[in-house]
Amino acid sequence: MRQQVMIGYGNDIDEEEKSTFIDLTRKHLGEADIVHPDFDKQVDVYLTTCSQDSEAICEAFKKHV
Amino acid sequence: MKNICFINGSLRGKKASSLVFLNCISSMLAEAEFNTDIINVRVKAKERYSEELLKTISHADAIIMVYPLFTYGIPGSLMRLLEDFYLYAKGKDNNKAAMVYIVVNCGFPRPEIMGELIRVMKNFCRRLLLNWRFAICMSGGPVAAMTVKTPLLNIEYKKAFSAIVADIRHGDTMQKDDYFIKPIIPEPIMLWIKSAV
Repeated sequence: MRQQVMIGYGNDIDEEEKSTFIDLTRKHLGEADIVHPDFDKQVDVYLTTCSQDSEAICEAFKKHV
Repeated sequence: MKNICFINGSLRGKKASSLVFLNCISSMLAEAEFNTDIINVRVKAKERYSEELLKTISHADAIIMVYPLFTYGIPGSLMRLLEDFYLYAKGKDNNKAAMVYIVVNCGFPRPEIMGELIRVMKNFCRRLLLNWRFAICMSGGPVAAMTVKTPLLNIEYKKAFSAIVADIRHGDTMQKDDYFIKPIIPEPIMLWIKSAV
């Protein structure tokens, strides 16, 4: 199965901006058959605001590689 | 006299549906009341937008952005302009009372798909302390652009565009609902046409 991983970043974003990014990118899951026909089965979305977040994302990402 | 800044976020030039909507709203603004500027986004913007152009946006009493939906969000070319404007206006003496409207069109049959896009624009306004007003979201793409010029069929569009003009004219402060306008062609037929192409 092909996997699409989206990672956002920003060190000064607030909670609403964070949830907007996650909701927006999650739209590509299931509803995106028009935009990304090959990637509609599985989408992972992450957002990092600091190095600790990035480390956690790397750990989660290891399952894909 | 109030300064109105239109931003055309489409790269399709004269063929753009966005330009049709922009011209329609612009034609409703009386020249004696409003001074209008139109800014077009550009392709491959390697250099930053000029300070003069960004100053035009920052001094506007109302900013009306007209653009197509792009993968549920803002087109990259418009994003670049907004990034430049953010860096320019952040901490500067821009018009923080500027009223902000977006007029967005998409090829999907249901305009509600633009919900997250509205949140993105609200976040942008909150960052710069701009006065977010409301959105007009239109589905159906070219069908909407054709309908808006057709008497009797364009009532919903005219009503929404008039709401922007009235809002600016009266300087309203009460928060208003967004407009979601479906194309005149029913969704099953739209989907049938799409699958047939």
